[in-house]
Amino acid sequence: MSVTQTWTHIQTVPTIARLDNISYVYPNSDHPALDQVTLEIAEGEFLLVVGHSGVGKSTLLRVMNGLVPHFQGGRFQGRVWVAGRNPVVLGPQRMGDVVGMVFQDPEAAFVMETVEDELAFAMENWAVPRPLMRKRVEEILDLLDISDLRHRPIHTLSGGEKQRVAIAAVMTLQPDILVLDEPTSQLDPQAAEEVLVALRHLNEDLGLTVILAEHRLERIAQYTDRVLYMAGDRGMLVGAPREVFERIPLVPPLIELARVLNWTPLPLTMKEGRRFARHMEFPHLPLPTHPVPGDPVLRVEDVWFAYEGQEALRGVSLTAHEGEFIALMGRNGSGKSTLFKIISGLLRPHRGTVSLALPSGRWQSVRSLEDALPHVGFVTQDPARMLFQESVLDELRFTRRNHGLPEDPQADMALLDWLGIAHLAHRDPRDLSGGERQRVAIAAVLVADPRVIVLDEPTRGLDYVQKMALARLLRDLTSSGRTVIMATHDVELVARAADRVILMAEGEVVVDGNTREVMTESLIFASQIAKLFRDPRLITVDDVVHALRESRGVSSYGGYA
Amino acid sequence: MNDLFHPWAWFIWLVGVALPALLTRNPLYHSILIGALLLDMWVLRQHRFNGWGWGIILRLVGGIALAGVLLNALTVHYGTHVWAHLPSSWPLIGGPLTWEAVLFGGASALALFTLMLLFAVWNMSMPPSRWLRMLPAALFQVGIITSIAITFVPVTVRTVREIYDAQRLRGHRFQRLWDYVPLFAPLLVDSLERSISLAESMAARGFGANVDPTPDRTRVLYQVMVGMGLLGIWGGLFARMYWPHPPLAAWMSLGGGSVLVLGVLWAQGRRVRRTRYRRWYWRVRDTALVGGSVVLLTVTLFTYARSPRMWLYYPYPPYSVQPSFEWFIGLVLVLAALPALLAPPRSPATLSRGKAEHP
Repeated sequence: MSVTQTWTHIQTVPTIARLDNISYVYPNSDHPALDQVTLEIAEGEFLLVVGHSGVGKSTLLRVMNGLVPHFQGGRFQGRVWVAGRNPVVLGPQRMGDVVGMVFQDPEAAFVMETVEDELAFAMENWAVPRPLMRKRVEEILDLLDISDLRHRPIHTLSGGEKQRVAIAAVMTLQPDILVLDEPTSQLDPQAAEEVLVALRHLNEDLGLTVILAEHRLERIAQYTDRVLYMAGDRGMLVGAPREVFERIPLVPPLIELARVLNWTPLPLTMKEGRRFARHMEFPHLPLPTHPVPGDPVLRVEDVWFAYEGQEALRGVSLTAHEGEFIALMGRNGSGKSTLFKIISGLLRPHRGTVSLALPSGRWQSVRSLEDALPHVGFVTQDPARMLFQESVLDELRFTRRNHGLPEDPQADMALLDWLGIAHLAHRDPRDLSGGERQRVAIAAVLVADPRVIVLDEPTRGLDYVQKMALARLLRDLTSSGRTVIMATHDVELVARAADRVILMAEGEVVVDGNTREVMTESLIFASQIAKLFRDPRLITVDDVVHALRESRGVSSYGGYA
Repeated sequence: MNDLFHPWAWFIWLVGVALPALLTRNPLYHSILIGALLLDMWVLRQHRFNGWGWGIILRLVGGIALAGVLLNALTVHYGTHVWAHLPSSWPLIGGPLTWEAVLFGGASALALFTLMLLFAVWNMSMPPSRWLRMLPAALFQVGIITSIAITFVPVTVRTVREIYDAQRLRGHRFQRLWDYVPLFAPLLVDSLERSISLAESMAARGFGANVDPTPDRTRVLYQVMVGMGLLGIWGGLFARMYWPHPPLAAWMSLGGGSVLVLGVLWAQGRRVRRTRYRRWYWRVRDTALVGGSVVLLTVTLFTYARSPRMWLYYPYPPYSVQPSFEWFIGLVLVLAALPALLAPPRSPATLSRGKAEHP
């Protein structure tokens, strides 16, 4: 494994952790998860770890406190030194006071019922005297700004609150290093922001060393001291954010554009980017024409719904057309999932109607699951909830059987091939990566040939490259005449793929319009490029590249790709 | 923590109220207890302790009463006050229907409702997991495991719901037992993954690191001691079942065995280096609660020992349909309302904090 080290200011700062040529192979595997990794981490550093899913980020982070190799076994080589201790010798239980570890899903990490008990759990294990415990709990509650949550049962907290409590629960042992494994991957953007702000505060004000694996680079890039890019078999790259972002595929659109246009120094924030963008003008560029939508296929009229008196939908109306790609956006709890359940017939509206256009041209109203099943395909948020068969092909067969369709292995293979997962046909869906599982779930829904495809937050846990692949795939679906409705928080995906954006809040439709217009007018629901130019003609990197090509011919972006 | 009473005071109150509730079916006494407990519940709710909603309680009363009265009235055909006749050819329910059977069913339902209400009130300010965390140090893991199980439940319920919906959306129908495979397979995988994450998070926070390793020789000694202790306990219990008046040796075996087992638990507990965050305060109202509960307990035990008839309610002949009522028992039962009477008045501070806690 080739290791590219770029030394920055850290040479003058004492080192807090050192990994010396470590290799690790999981039990029952012959492929090394880590291969001769050498890394030094400076005291007080903010290190961002990026890389495709399944590349070993989690494994590397778990070496820091000895979970690897203690938890799973396997073969471990090399030397590790963290804050004067050897985690490989001591094991995770005795590293808690130097390394605080926060995991992806906070819900699965909680032991106690209330916030305060959870904070005390680690200290009780470490036999911290009670007066000291009291003092530290008070401090940590203030530090992470969660003192109003102290008596709350944990299951009543929001996602962002849960993750902040999870951070607080390891901070009570006053560790020197905080290690976080994709802590925002299960959160919506607002909640993720809460967590990242808290991390920045801990790093900048308290000098805590932070090691963070994260997919959302646009929010955190400017605060990190160094970025570690793990490229799997092709080695790793460590260095200052600008240097690493120059050279890796997983970057946010702003940086992608900056690289295409050779902006130097590479802008990490919108503010820096705007300095470059200000000089670009395209007075003669026409507004890209939107594809004319086909005939209406789905009509939602004045739909109301309430859960035990709590109104979830209040007079929602919308019409979806053939070949249209609609993005449904809005905060968690704004009614998106409820609307989906009503469209698919899982829930019955208390007022109003949902109707579907049949191929015959007749309209059928949706009152039950049976009415919607043949026409609406629903890809649920977590593909693991849907998949349970022993092979991918069996999953397709299962859906076929449910819909009373004849078996057709050839058509199944053709579908898998079209989705780019034909090589996985005989694999167990549980062994696949997040992006692959997502495709299997989509295949398991498409096999019944629905006219309307509904996806509930399909991009959770996917990296930039996987998201863009998903966007292309869904676009292809719409060009074959299907209608796609997708609930998502991901503005970049929306900018790239959706024709229309529907913004929901408190169970109502707040905005319903063309993606370009909505993105240009909104302050929050806008892609990076839209924020950069505030021009409905420019909302994606491709738009800008296209505009440049139109205005000056092919010249300045040759360096890309 | 805004606990109203010390756990031990709260526990003694529970025992004090549970004893009379278990001893009698007298509807007059139970009405007093139910009134007192509803008052407790109302006051605890004022102090922002979460518990059952009033709706649930109403439904519970309806359900229990209906089941108790109906079942007893239809199946027990004993008594002199007959109000209807069902054809005697009908199995089980055929025969005369008596007012005695209705009354007895109602009284049983009332007794059951008192007990449920008692535990509901008790749970309001003291969730079971917190009790478990007061276990001796050697058993602290039991407490934590239970606590985890409790937190696992709501998540699992939600997961089941999600998987159920996801499979139905694929056109799957849940009708026969076999149809539930698509529900359990993903649930199993999900629970396993969640368990691994939990175990990692617990290990990373030092769980299990605080037990001093027991030297091999001591461990063998402990194992022998626990073995002998259990043998002694079983032997004693067996002797008690076998002989109506067991010999002294049986009592000694029981006592000695218990001492051995408890001794090992205590010694092992000393090897666990753990501290407890929760601290309990003993206030004047705790002493008052214990005092009242002891009075209730003593009067109940004393009167019951002297004359069990005083507590008996059995409407079937030859006993009276009318429940007996001793004024001093009735008075003492009012002590079940002590938590409500002793609770401090709500200050504006509690109110506003309460709001912040449960928005």
